[in-house]
Amino acid sequence: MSDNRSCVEPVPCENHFATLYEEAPLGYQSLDAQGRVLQVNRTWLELLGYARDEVIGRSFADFLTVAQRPCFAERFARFKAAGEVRGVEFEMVRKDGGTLVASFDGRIARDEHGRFLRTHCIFSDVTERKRAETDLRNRESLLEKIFDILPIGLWFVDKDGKLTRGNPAGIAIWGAEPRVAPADYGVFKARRLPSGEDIAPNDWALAHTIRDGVTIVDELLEIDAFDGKKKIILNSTAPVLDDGGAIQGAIVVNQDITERWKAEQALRESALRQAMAVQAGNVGLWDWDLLTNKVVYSREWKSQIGYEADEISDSFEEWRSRVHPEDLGPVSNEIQTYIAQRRPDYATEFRFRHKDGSFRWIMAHASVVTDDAGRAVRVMGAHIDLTEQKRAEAARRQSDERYRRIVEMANEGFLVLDADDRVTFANRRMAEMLGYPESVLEGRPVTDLVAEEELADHRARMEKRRQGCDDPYERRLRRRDGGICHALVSASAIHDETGRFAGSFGMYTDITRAKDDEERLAAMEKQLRHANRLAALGALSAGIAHEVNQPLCAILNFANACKNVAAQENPDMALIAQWCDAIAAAASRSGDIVRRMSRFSRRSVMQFRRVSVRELIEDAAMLVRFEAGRRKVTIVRRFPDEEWFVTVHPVQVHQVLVNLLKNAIEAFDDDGLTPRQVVVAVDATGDTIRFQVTDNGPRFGNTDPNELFTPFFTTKAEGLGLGLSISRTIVENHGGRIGAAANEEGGLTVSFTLPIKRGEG
Amino acid sequence: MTSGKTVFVVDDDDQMRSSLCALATSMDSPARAFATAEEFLAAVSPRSRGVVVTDLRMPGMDGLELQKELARRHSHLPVIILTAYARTPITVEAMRAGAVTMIDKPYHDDDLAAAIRWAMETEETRWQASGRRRDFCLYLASLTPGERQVMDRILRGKLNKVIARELAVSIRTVEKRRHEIMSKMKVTSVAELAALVSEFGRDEGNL
Repeated sequence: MSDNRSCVEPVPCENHFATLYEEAPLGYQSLDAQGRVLQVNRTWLELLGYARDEVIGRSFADFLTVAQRPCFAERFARFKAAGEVRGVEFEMVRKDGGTLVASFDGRIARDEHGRFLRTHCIFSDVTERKRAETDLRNRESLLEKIFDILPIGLWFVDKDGKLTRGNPAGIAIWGAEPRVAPADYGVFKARRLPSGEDIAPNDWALAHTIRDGVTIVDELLEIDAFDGKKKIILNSTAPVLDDGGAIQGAIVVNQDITERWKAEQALRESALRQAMAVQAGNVGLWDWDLLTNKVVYSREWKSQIGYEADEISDSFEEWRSRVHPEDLGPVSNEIQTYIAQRRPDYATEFRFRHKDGSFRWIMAHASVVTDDAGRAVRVMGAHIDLTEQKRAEAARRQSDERYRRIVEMANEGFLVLDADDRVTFANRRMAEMLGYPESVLEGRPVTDLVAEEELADHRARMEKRRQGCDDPYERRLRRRDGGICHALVSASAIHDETGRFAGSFGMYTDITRAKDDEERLAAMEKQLRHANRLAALGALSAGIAHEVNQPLCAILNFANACKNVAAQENPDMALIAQWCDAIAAAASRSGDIVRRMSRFSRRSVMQFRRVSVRELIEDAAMLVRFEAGRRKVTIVRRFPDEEWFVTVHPVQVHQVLVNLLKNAIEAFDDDGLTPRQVVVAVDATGDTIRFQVTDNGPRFGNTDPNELFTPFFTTKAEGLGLGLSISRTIVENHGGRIGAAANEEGGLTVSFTLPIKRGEG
Repeated sequence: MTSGKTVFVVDDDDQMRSSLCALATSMDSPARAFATAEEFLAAVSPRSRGVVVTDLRMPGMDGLELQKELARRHSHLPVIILTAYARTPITVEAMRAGAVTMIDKPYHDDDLAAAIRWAMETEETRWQASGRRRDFCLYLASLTPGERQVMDRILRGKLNKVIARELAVSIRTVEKRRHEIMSKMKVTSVAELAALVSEFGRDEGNL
C-alpha cells in the first residue's frame, strides 16, 4: 500500500515540470487569476502558430473562437472554485485562422495558505478525433437514407410487440404491411429452413425478442408472402433497449436472399450496430526516479486503467507488468535508447492493461531530467489514453467498409452528389453503367452524365429535390463512349445537421436492355412491314412493269413517229404538235405511276396525313391491276359520291389494301368460274369508315376465317403468311378493327375500319 | 415500201393504241385500231393486206390467242406481239404458232419500226405463197349451196343420176351445176378437183 503522498499532484519540483512541459508534445499553459496567459510551451505555440511574445499576457479567451469566449469565463470561474478540470474542450483559433479542438486537463497551483497562484493546464489536440466522430455521424445518417431506399425489409416494433411500420422493401417482401400485435403473429406463415418446421405464432423470433430481449440473427425462412409468393428470406430481430436495459421495442430485418444477399447482409450488420460512444481520454502524469527506480503515478494515470489511487504502488514494475507482452520488448528498448541518447522529445504507443483485463491504447510522452553532471536522474511524462480515438477510427473504418461493401456488391449504381451537384462518390456498378473507371467520376458535375436532351428536365428535378420532392424517375445517362444508358433513378436529398441541403444520394437501376428491346422490337416490326411491302411489290412486279412500260412505249412510238414526219419534205407540223402533246400526257402518266409505287415501297417515317379515301383505293388498285388482268379478275371499285378523307399513315393503309386485294385476286384458281370479280367498297357509320374487299372466289371450306390473321398462316404455296397479320397490326395501330367472314357467294369478305377523326399521331 | 398495206393495231391501252397508229402513219401506212382481238377478227378478211401489231395481255382474247386464231384461219398476216415480259415458254409457243416477232417492252428506239418494216416484206412473201389457197378459198366461196351439195357428192364418186335422185332434182340440173362447179373452181376434171380439195380442205370458205 502506498502512502498518501503518492496520490497528490506530482509537482515535486516546479522547475522540473516547467522543463517537462516546455518540451512535452502536449500543449501546456499557465494562466493567472484573470485568465491571462503566464506561460505556454513550445507545443502550444506550434499548435496555434504564434510566437511566444504574441501570447504572454493576453487573455486566454483571445485564442478561442468567438462563440466559445463567453463560456470560457464561466468555466474558468468554476475551475478556480473546484481546483481542477478534466476533459474540458475548447475550440481554439490558430493565428492563421484555422481552428482546433483541444481537450484540457488542469489543476490550480496554490500557495501554502491555499491562495490561488496560477493554473497548470495541458491540452491535447482532439480535432482529428472530433472529425472522426462527425464523420461517423454523417455516415450513419447516410446509412439511414440507404435503408429507406434500398431493397431491404425493415420493420419497427413497439415494446408490446406490435409491428408499427415497415419500409417499402419490407412491405414488398411480405406483400402487405400487417400492423399486428403478438396475438396475431399467426398471420405470418413461414417455415424454418432447412428443417421445414412451421413457425408457431409465439415462436417467431420477434416474439422471443420482445419477451426475452434476445437478438436473433439470420434465421433462414421460407415465407408465404401475402401476395401468394413463396420467398426465402433471412429474418433477424433485435431489441431496442433504453439506457437501463429495458426493452423499448424491436427491429426486424428481412432480406430476400435470392437477390443481392451479400449486400444486404452488410446492411443488416450495420443496422444492428448502432452509434458508438466515443469518450474523451484523459492524461495521466508520471515521474520516474531512475536512482531509486520509484515512480510516482498521478491519480489520473491510475484511474485511466481503472484503479483507485491506493491500489497501485510506486514501482516501475507496476508499469512494466501492465504493458502488453507483445509491446513490452520494443517499448523497453525504445526507453533504454531514449534515456541513453537523452533526446529532448519522446513518444511511443503501446497497449496497457486495464484493471478489468482489457487493454487500452496509451500514448506515452517522456522527458529526461539530468543532474549537474549530465546524468539522467529521472524521467517524467504523461500517458494519454488513445483507446477511444482508435476505436472511433476503427468504427469509422468499419462503417466505411460496410458502406463500401453494400454499395460495391449492389447491382444498382450509387451516386452521391454534393450541394453543387458534383459527384463525390460513385460505386463500381455506376462506373460500369457509364463506362468510366471508378476514380474518374469523382469531382465531375453530374450534368456531364446526363444525356443532352434531358438536361433541362434534370435541372428542374434537382431544383424540386432541393425543395424536398423525391420520386423515382427514368433518366437517360450519357456514357463515356457517347452511348446512352437508360436508368431508373431513386434519389433523395441529403441534409446536414442544420437541415441545409448538402447533396443527393441516388440509386440507379440499368434498364437500357429493356429499353433497347422495346426499340428493337419496334424497329423489327417496321422492317417486317417494309419487307411485306417489298414482297408484295415483288409479287406484283410484272404488273408494275406493265404499268410503267405502257406509257414509256407510247412515248417512244410517238417520238419515232415525230422523227419520221419531221424527216419528210414539208412535214406536217400540226401532226407533230399533236403527237408531242400525246408524249407529254404519257410521260405524266408514267410519272404518276412511279409516284404511286414509291409511295408504297418507301421505308417511310411519314407522319399521319389526311388523305383521300378514293386516292388510297386507286393507288392500291393500280398495283394489282395487272395481276387481276392476268387472272381475268375484274376489280370493281365502289366509292361514295362525295370525297371522303381519313387521317392515317398512308403507306401503311395502302399496304393493307394491297394485301387484301392481292389475296382476293390470288384466291381464284386457274380454271375457276366466271365472272371473277373483286369488289372494294367503302361506307361509313358514325365516326368510323369501313373498307370491304369481297371476292366471289371458290374457297373457304372449314377454316375459321379469323385464323387468317395469325402470323405465318397461309393457304398459298408461295405465301409467307404475314400479309394479314401485318395488316391487322396496322389497322389496330390506327385504332381500327379487321375481320373476315365467308360471304354468300362462297368467297371471302375482309373488312376493316378506321376512325375518321383522330388526334395527331 | 409499206404504202398500201395497213398496220392493224390491237391494244386495249388507249395511249399505246394511238401511239402505234401515229408510228404507222409516220411510216406512210394506213393504220386501223382495235381495242380488242374480237373486234379485229370481225373486221379482217382474207384479202386484207398488212401486219398486225398486238399487245400480249388484253382483256378477253389475248395476243397469243389472236395469233393462234389467225393461224387456224391460214391468214398470211404477220403478227408482232408486244409483251411486258417475254417469258421463254410464251415465246416458244408464239413462234410455234407462227408469229413473226415478239418484242419486249420497253423496246429500243426504232426496234418496232424495224419490225414493222420487216413484217411488211414478210407479208408480201406470204401473200404470194398463200395465193393458191386464197384462190381456192375464193372459188369455193363463190359456189352456191346447191352447187356445194352437188360437189360434195361428185367428190364421193356418185353418178349424176344418183345425185339427181338424192337431191330430188333433174339430171339436167345436176349436169348444169357440175359444169358451173368445174368452171368456178377452174378445173377441167373431177380428178383435179379432188386433188385440190384434199390439199386445202372443204371448209375454208369462211375467211
